[in-house]
Amino acid sequence: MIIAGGGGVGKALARRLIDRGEDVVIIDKDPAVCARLREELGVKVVEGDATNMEVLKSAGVDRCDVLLALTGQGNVNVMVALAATACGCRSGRIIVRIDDERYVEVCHMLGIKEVVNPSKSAAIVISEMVRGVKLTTLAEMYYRGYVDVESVKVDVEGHLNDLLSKLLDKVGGGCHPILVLRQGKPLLPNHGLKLRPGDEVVFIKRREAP
Amino acid sequence: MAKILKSQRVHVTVVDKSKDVCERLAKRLDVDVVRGDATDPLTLEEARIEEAKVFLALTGDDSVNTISSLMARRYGVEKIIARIEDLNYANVCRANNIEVVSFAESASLVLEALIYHNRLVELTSLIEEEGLDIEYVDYRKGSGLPRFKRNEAYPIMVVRGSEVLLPSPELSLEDGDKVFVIRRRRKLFHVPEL
Repeated sequence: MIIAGGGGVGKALARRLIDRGEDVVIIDKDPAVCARLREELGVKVVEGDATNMEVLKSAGVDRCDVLLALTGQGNVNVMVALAATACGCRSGRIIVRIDDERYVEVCHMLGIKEVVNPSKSAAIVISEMVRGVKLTTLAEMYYRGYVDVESVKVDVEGHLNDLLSKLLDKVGGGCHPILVLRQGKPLLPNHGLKLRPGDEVVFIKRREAP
Repeated sequence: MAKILKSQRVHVTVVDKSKDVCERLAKRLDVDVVRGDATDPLTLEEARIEEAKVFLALTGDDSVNTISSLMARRYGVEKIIARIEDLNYANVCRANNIEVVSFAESASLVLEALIYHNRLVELTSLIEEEGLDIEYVDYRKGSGLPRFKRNEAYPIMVVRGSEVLLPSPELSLEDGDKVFVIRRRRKLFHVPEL
């Protein structure tokens, strides 16, 4: 995986990926930042401008699984994504950091589908904290394999209550409905809810503790 | 953050030293604003910090966030969350019972979830944006699952130690069980009429 931009967000993510045993390469144009990253994380660091195709190639963009453009500047991140696509990062995923919501539209127009806004992410984490829930706890339960999430599309109309047993047959045992998505909007799966064709019922699936 | 809290019908007062930011927030979000330095007692008092249930220190400066959080502690605010990126500052905050959140860590948590398709985190983000909340409730032995008014809330799972149990009418809860629920966004705190 390649991370363009070794600032706070890039470095924090690199740590997580290294902990998972991923092969990480960081690109940053600041020599001091590069030296510190090499020393602290022990990863491969390419010094240079990530909007430059030669720099991207020397980081191995043509064979990476994921390229993350995480500098503090949205326009630079968009350029990194476009340059990576131009030099053959076609099979890999490209994830772009955008701080200014207005840029999200630009990304979609340019075919960049995966966008993350750090302020929004932080707001979600803080909002959960205010209510005493830790998003990291939920995340860990998933990563550690205690729970999984599965969903089934509904092709008929009817009350959730009446359709539930059929839906449970499809997802297998140990499942519990947690949400219904109707055109991407979440609804609470109360038993009286009337489902429409196209609705997606999301189940939480319990796994044995590994 | 102010936007999310407003949607939870919380009374929000924003302190910022920039005149432009204050004017924009007052106009767009209909929140109370106090222009000033968040480490200045007079500013905090003007924001009526003594009455605050929660204090969030979210400036881009770790030292400002640490100092203003410690001051909020002196003013008796119960729940304090500070945005801190530096480990040294984080340790000072934690030693004073101030919860710490890092912008970079939050972003990397969400990025990691995106890379590895963590649908639990993705759903949480979606839920947050669409006016629902995930909460958990601590339960005592022998009590059944919490009952909610229809369409108001819905239990999604029960965490017992490191085990996850699915909600069902037969499930008997034990001390320390955490019941996670998704609920329609509601008023988060009771704010007395002024």
